[in-house]
Amino acid sequence: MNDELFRAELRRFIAQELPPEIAERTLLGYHPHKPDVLYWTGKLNERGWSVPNWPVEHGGPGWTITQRHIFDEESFLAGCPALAPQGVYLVGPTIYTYGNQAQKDYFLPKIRTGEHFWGQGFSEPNSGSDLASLQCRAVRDGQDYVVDGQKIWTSEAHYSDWIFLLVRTSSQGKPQAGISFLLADLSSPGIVVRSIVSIDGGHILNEVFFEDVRVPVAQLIGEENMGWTYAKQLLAEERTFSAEVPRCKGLLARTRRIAQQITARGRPLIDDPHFARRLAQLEIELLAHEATLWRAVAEEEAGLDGAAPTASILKIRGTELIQHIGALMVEALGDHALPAYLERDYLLGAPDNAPGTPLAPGVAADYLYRRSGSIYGGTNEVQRNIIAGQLLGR
Amino acid sequence: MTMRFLPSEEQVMLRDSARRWVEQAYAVGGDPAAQWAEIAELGWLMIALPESAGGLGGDAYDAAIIAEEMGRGLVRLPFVEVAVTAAQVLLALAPDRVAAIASGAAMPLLAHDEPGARGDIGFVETRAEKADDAWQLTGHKTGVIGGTLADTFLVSARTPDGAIGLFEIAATEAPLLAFTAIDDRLAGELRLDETPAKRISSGDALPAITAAIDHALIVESADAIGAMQAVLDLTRGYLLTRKQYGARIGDFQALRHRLADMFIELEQARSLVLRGLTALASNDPDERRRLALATRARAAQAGHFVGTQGIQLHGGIGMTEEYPVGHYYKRLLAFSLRHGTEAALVERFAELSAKTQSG
Repeated sequence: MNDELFRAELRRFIAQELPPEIAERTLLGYHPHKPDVLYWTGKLNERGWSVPNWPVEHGGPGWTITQRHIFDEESFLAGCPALAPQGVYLVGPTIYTYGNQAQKDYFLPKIRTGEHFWGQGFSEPNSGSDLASLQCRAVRDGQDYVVDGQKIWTSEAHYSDWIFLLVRTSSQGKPQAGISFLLADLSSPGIVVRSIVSIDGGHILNEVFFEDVRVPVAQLIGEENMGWTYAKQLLAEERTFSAEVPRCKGLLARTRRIAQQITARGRPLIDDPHFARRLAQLEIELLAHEATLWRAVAEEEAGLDGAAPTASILKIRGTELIQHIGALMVEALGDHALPAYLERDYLLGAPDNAPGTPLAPGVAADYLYRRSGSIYGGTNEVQRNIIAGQLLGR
Repeated sequence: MTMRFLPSEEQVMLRDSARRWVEQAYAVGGDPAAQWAEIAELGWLMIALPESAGGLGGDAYDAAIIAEEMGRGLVRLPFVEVAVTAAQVLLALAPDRVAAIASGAAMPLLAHDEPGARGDIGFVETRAEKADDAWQLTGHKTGVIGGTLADTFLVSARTPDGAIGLFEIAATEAPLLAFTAIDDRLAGELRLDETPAKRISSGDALPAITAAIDHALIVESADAIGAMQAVLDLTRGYLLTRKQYGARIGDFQALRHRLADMFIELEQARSLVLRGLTALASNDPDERRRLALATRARAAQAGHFVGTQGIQLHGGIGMTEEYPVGHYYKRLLAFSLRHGTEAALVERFAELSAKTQSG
């Protein structure tokens, strides 16, 4: 099918199936509302579209990379709830690439239907960008591992069902050599999830504590002590994912809409040449950024991936761009952005007697939360180390 | 639209052959006429031209491959200016004259930019007036790179009906004020004062000139990519060999991150050049314009960063006339001044965005 027909089909589907109140809520830009995500995952699953990046043999739609980008873009712009990323984009591909048949048979269908939401248990209080220094231990005891330790910054853990973990199973050799990849049921005895409220006033992050948690050996991915290899692949995926082109497009469109409606000294802000120039600069950067993504895709399809540190470029520039657009949007709102439009007040719709303009809720919160972009997934400084390492050696 | 982000086998061969010529055959200070004959012989002047006009049926992507190598080797010939920009404008307005460019027999240059136009292609103050049935042009054309080598100037001017016409003036008749540009390229400006000229086509030439300049904006950006790549390679080599405080300076994180940022700038600009090259084939002139402005502005921004930081990371040696890094920066600086500065092009882009995305 040609790409424009595909786009038209998606638009038709979204127009028919997406309830306006969900779209409206999603477009505000707060953290995902689980019932909305579940509803939409179900609708997509009925069409076989709930795991857009998966190959057909594992229940994916078998889309080309271009089709996947069109899907992401149309979904974001229309206000479709984002699919729960940890399952669909991170652990799902890890399971079908490195997992055994039983793991594939059990877990993959539950990710497709939304029955299982996942958390990512990688970072620890003392292991951020230096992930390989992680200390959460798993000790073999019969047919189980016994897990002790703490994970942090675990997005969505408070409403997730499972968590995938990097744990230390050996202290021999390099730190990377003693790490294993486990899947744990979050309802296991000994797991406690505590919420972390972030600077946006919202709740998506958590800490997860493990005390003598028994995880069956059958839930080990691949081989013991090989977890770093699997995680590296997953992190490269995460960096490409954080290119965030659809989000950038959506945010730029929102900025333009705001600047058309907000007035500065009696005239639409968009008519201020200084503002228009700054917006144009970001639009140009997005054109370049998107082209780098397409290049990376073309190189990947031609089997040339790894030739350049493209994933790091995409991660750095994608997250920076989102921050720059967010900052411009907040600035465009000016004093309209002053009220703390807290997520908890707006998740189910605007309250009565809301202050300010309806253009504003969610803008500053999203901007503040996106300060995390240059920190998670290996800080942007670490990404620069990776690029420099490729250019200069270590 | 399908983008080409990877060169074909033929294009890899073309790049290799261009690199060989630039590194081995080309020499600064050689005879430009002889060098021009060589690149004509190699077929590069016809590479981006359709077969119907005596070309090889390639497109701007092929020309960009050669331009990139010329930027990388600081080649001073007006390759893009003749084989792309002038050729494109003639392709639209006088296609029977293109074959002479392809063969190397003719060397016309487009003289369109005016001081004060700031990247606004429609800003033309040069006037064309008829006296005794013959046209005369009065005005000021600047930034004509390669000016002293041309045999003909294709000059735009506003006709009495307000349209923009295209005229030609033989180099022997042209009031050319020659100068050497900051990047050592031979250039010139035209000081037209009732200068006799021949009209090339009767219609409004602005759409053809705009298309040709869009080609120039993007293919010259490929030249800038080549220059930036050379800066990056030089700087990388320097960081790996220079020692201070008992260590390779390439071990210092501040310098490593700077080099990483130079690399990111270069790669973002390179991506946009590839995207821009695809847009040149677009049937939608607004889209082509948008991408041309974006590509050029982005490449100028990257060129400024890569060029200045290349000098900075070299320290004192980077300041010397003898060392090449400064010459690359001057090439990039000159690049950022022609056909509108970065700021001016971003403004033009903003105007176009307002036009296409209003409401």
